[in-house]
Amino acid sequence: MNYNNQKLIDMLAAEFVLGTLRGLARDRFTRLMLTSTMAREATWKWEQHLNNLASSIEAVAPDQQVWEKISQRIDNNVVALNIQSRTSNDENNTFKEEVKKPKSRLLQAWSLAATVACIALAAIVWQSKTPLPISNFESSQLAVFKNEAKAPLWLVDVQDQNLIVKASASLETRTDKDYELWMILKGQDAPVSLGLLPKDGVKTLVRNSRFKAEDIALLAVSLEPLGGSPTGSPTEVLYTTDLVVL
Amino acid sequence: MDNDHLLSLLSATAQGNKKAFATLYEATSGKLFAISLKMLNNRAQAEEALQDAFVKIWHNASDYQVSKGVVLSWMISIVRYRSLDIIRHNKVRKEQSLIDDYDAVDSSSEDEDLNIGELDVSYEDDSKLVDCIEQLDQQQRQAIHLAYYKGLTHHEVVDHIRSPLGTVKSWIRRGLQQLQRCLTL
Repeated sequence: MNYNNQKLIDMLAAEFVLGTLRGLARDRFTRLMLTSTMAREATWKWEQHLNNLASSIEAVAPDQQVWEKISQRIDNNVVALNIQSRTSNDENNTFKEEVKKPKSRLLQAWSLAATVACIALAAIVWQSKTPLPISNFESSQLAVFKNEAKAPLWLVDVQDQNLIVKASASLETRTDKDYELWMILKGQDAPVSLGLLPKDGVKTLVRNSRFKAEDIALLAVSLEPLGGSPTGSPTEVLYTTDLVVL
Repeated sequence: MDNDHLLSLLSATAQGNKKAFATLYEATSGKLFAISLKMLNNRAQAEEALQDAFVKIWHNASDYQVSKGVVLSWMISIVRYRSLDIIRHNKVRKEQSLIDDYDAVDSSSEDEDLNIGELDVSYEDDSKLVDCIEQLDQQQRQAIHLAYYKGLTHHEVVDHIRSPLGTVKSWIRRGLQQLQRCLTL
């Protein structure tokens, strides 16, 4: 499909906004918006046009509890961030354990099995000369970014509070640029930044509160000026991958 | 709703001002909830969509740019996409009540007070879109309305108005093309 065709992009954007673009076609267009200014601008234009249709809908007051839940979620996020900043110093392990949800035995068994599977997968996909910090892997969600030659570049290990990212020796190090990690949530057009990726070694990123496997359509890496995206959107998408749930 | 007022509230929200965010919620939640309710036809799920949308608005307020349209349109898109996502993943749909909306043969809705089935559209504003959409053929307009207001897929529109898939796709595509021509004149 020729994504440089303005008419085609306009119609895809119109059906995306209308909602009739569904399934894989919708996911493809969401990915296209990551890299195509034409697609993003066409979508914004149709949103401005078609959302005028909503003027015919009379407001209906939601229940008071909706606002209470929103406030709670926002406040919880603030608390969660505070917890992370404290535990990252490695001085408050007791406090960290207090805020962890209690795990059932079944969950613990599953967690152990997932850890083993996780390590096995990591060992298979990772062909770096440098051994992985296996003791760090406790999660059941992983992502591996590979280049065109299928060489692994980054391994992302998803943990309760953090994303542990390890850069591979295969990664071409750029001193004039940074690499930024993004998630694209299902049904949403704007990618969400997850932070800058390491150019070597291991880096811990704070896990975004909306990082939930079931909500994520895609993960992406973009090439950015030093310091990260200046616009809040990816500048040049280099790689995309799926989140693997074990 | 005055866009300058909403813009100032959104700007303050982007800086972490919860009071401004609460005022923004008060000003817009009724409209956004009604949009979601019309699409999902389910109060609990519409509240879930509204909740998720406002949490996203809180986190992404700084991503808003004027080029994305007026503030309310940007917010409407967020709640619509979340509602479409819920439709897509949970497959919650009251097909029978949708048919009732158009046939107007059954007024015994579970939530009569919500009046969410009505698709007798009357626009409050006088935007160019309203002029342009009034110029569409009745079938094109009906198909676009069903997709926009109810979040129906092509196949669901087919079931709803009992016309072949190719015809429905053509109505929507040609309707959108005609809208685009009209809007750029």
